[in-house]
Amino acid sequence: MNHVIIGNSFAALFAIEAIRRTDQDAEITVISREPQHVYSRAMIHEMLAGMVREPMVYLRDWDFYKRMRVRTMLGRTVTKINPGLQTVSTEEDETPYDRLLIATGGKPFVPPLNGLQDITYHSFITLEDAKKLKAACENRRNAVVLGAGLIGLQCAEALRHMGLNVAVVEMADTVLPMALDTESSQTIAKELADEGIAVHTGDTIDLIISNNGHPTECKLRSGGTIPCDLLVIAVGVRPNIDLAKDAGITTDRGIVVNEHMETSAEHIYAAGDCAQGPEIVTGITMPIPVIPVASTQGMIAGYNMAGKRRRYGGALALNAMQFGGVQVISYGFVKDERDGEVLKYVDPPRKIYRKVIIKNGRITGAIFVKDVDRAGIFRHLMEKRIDVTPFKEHLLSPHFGVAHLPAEIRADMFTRPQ
Amino acid sequence: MKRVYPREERCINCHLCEVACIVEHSETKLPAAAYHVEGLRFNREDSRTICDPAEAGTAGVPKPLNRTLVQTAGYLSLSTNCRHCEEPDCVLACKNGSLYVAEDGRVLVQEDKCVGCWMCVMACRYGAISRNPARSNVPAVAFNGINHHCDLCPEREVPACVWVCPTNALVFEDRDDQ
Repeated sequence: MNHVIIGNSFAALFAIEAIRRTDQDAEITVISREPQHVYSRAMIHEMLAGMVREPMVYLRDWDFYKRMRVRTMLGRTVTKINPGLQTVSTEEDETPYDRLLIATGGKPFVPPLNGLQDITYHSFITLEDAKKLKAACENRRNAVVLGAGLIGLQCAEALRHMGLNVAVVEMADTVLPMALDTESSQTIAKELADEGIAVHTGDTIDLIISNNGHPTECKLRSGGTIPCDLLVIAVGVRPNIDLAKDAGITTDRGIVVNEHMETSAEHIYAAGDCAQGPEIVTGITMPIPVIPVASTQGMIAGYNMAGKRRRYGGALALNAMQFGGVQVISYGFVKDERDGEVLKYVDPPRKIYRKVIIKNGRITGAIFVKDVDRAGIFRHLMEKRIDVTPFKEHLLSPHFGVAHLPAEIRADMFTRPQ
Repeated sequence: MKRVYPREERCINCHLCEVACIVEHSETKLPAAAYHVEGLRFNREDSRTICDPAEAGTAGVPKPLNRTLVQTAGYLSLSTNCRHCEEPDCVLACKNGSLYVAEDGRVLVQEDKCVGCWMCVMACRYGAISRNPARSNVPAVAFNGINHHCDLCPEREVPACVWVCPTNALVFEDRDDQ
């Protein structure tokens, strides 16, 4: 069986390992636009700030492709998928496949901004973006980051760590508007302010003033002007679906896949940030661009491609982040409190905050600030759709643990191999 | 593979498994020296594996470093640790590939690579991963630490927690075919 994978991040990595575990004789080819060894995009802010050594961003040892017997075509761009011929085209040649995995990830969304066409601005998605940004930081003093999502704030924190003045401009009324609820985002906003990052929420850039291709100032919609000699656009990332769409594969916001990670085209699979698979709380399909979902989808796709039928019941949106000295872990839909019972534990002096939203006995969202230990038990409760009504008074106790779960759930978790 | 399984009906909440775990992973492997010289402690009061790394460094707050954890609710208690899953959620979530499945099936962490992002804490449905504030690979990040979980005591035939348990409330068995 001849497997071709487009992309070279988490979904591709775990697909490779699943295919090789299942089929020792399979041929595996990885084609990626990026020339680097498999690395983590979630490490580029730490790389930018010089906080970690470069080897720490690579996800596997240097002999990974050799060990997995993968043919690599790195630094090559796929221009077309030909489902009828079962080939993919690059600018130079055509590669045949028996099974194809599209793991093309996401691409930055750049909004139209007055004056943007006159300047060089930065995105912050890839390792190369980080290296370019690092080089551009020389002799710059005033960075502006548009977008206070995870990528924007991580970039802002890294630039601040490097000694630049940093302002973040966000259209929504809070930082991390997609990931956090109001209380937790206020805690993070305060951490950022304490680090010396100026956060302008409920605002956007109306005009970028530049001189010879270099930005000098940004005029904000609220009327103010902020100095700017380095602009990072981090408004958002969209699923990279162009190749699939052009090939006639069904797409929505992402490439639509079923619980086997199969697309609408025969022998073509999709996984990771480009895919739109089933979500577990709602049961509908949606893109969930987080590492564990990408990895798991990639693994499931890999097994199915190699002929081992595996099903993915549905993904749970989950994320872990840290700003300043505050860690946050979240699961599911933390802002949607409609028709739900909301349990909260708040300890402002210690910055501790926990919230659980319950609908029809099932947890639909949970968020943990600062006190995050053993939060993962909530993942289990949510993914297994466990009725928490019998023990819900313990959920927010700092001592909450597996001992509070019903006996049959404990037995299921701790008496058999996992 | 052989794993550690709790038998809650036999557990008497004595926490000796936690003591044995700390001592086994200490430099001296002597209980008094591990606690009083190396400064390794566990948080007996509420039996939480680890407190906030932010507090671990402050005076008077112990550095609890046990990898197995006695969890209690009323009269019920059981000792829990890493399940060494076949398809570990922590490995699938690890943001820089620090966590891996070793050839013998154990789930291990590269201690010099982990950046303390706590994706593993988020991912582990057994709540079996703690934050070790005594070690950091990214000192510039506030309250950084590294992943800390059961390694099945590589230098022993039977893990220390199982060996020490006075009531056989922990067993080391291969249940893969059950």
